[in-house]
Amino acid sequence: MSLLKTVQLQVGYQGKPLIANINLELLKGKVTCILGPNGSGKTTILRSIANLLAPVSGSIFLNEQNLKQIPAAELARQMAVVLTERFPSDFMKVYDIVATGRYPYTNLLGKLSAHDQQLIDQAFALVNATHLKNNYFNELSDGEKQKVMLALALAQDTQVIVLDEPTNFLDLKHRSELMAILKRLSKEREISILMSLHDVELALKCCQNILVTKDDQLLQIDNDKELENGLIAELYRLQSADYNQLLGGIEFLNHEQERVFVVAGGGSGTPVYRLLTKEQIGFATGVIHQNDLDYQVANTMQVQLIAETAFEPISNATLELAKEQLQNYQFVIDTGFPAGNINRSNLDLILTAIQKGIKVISLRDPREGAELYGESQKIKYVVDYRELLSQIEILK
Amino acid sequence: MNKHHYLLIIVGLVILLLLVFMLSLSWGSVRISMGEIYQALFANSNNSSQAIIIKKIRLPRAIGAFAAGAALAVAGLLLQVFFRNPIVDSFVLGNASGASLLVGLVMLAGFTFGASQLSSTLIFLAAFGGSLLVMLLVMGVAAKVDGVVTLLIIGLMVGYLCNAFNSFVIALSQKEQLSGFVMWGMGSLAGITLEQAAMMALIIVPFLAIIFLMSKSLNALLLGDNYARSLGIRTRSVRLLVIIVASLLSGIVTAVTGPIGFVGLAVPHTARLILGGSNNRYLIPLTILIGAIVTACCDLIARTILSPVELPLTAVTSLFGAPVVIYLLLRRQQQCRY
Repeated sequence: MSLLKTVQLQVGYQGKPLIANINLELLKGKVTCILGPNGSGKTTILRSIANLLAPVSGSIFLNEQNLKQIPAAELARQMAVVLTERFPSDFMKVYDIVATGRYPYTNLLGKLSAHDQQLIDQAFALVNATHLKNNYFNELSDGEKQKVMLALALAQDTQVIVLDEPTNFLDLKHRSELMAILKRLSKEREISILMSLHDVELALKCCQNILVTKDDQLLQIDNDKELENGLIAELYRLQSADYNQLLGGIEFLNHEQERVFVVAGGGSGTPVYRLLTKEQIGFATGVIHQNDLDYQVANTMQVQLIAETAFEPISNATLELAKEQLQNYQFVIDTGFPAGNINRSNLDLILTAIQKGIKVISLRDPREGAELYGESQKIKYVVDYRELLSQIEILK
Repeated sequence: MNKHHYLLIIVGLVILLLLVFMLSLSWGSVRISMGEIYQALFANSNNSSQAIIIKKIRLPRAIGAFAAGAALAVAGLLLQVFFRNPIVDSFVLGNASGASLLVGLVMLAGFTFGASQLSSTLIFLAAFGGSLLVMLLVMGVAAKVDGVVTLLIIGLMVGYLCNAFNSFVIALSQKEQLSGFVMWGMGSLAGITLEQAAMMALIIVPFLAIIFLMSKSLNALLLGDNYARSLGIRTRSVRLLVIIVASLLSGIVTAVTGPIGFVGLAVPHTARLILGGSNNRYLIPLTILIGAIVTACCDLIARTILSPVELPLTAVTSLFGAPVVIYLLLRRQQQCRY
């Protein structure tokens, strides 16, 4: 069931539309987010929906009632907002701030009834901030402040809560805690939550309904497919990194001159790839199965990649290609990948490198290495990534 | 602070207020005993010199000090909420400067046209008219601009303009004419009549009640206009009302006593320190009481400490106020980590 709906809404400032054709629908018990880079108009949309900014054109319906026709006090009982703006808060008690959430319900003097007090206590408990009640607001950290402002919105006891960039300035703990609270609230209280986010990962993992601001439009993301086709990179105009939908995050591109060949698989390559990219060392890698985590990471980094079809043993043709390629590099890294039936040939790659006199750095246990590759002067065993890095420095 | 604690403080302040009231009547160039005060106030046909001092001089002054102090303190509080800035009072809107300018002009014109003594009514009207004019000017601007800081700067600029004209007036005046104006400009309750004091109190008290009834909206405004609006507060009308009431209150007081500094600045902060919070529902009664007590004490000091010489009231309020403001600014600096 939809609680809030916009029809052909155009938002902007001074009659100039910034974003047009906004037709969004907030469903009961769902978290909706507007995703987009900074300065793309997310806040403008939220401010318009929260009736803090007059829309350029179009209408907003809250419970089938036009927002324009809802009296201010009544609207405050149906929709609460949490904004990014800060206020000078000397001498302001946390409890007093959250108690203002009951203002739409109290008498002229704002006297709190037992019911009001109970709802305020509940709001504090819901955001895990009961211990902050008697503090001064400006003594709190950013994360705690955000929780208190959310408690204020909850005390308002509304069906719709609009939050502008609620995770800004928050650390990982507070960010995940806040999102978990919002998710739980939307389900338990059957309220709709609308928020703006610029954090792609958070949006994709927490929000049931995602809209993105693109140019002057607000697009509905109906399924994850759309995100795979470079939408995020395009949206955020990513140039030095790319977003991977399956990884749920970004990887930095590595377009450096290739000097290293990494033999990897089973996820063992990922930390090595990231290390090399961080150090701005170009590399190629193989043979990687297409169902491997390493494949996703290397592919997103846009490095040279020799791949094999998922779950198929490495074919001779692919192996030959890899052996051929291997010779173009200064040295080879053996990530210590687990060797099983379908990727055992990757061990041949290391042996080939040794035969051809290419230096190999291996992350494997030396004893295991000796069993697999025999004793060789060409192979250097390292215990961790730090040692790996110093070996690379020497070889460079 | 819990409710009982708060009530205790209110009761304590009321007792203090009564004490200061009695002292204001008793102390002065002539010490008058409690018995005589009672006689003077409640026995009708008492025309002893003591009774005359009480009725004509000390009672009006005490009432005037209470009313002026309460009004200035609350006006300061209102403007602090309005501007979301703890270091403003009614001076920032140029009220006092506007009043001074018109009073100065009237005095200069009066003496130029040969009057030797100007009636206090004329000065009252000039002062009230001056602060009203400035208020209308600032309100006209307030309706057009949204930014609080812009309005603050405009108020300050209007104040500077008035001061500049004031300097012209002073430069053009004769030396003998000047002292009256300069004394007026430092604020004093000397010479206040019972009628003036009663009128001031009668106008001020209803406004104090109105402000108390606005405490909910004021609390919401503390969170900023957007949050206030999302809580269902009509911010535009509340803001307009705040400016009107604050200007009227300080205009009335300035008209009667001349500009009195620092009460509007220091008292609300003292009240916040005592309350340990800024919930206006509790803060407003505290501010009213502390404003009245502090101003009456300052007036008492002004007229007794170097008696028979009387100190300007602003000199005494500044002595009290400046350290408070400095303390608060230092405290604020420590707290502004975010």
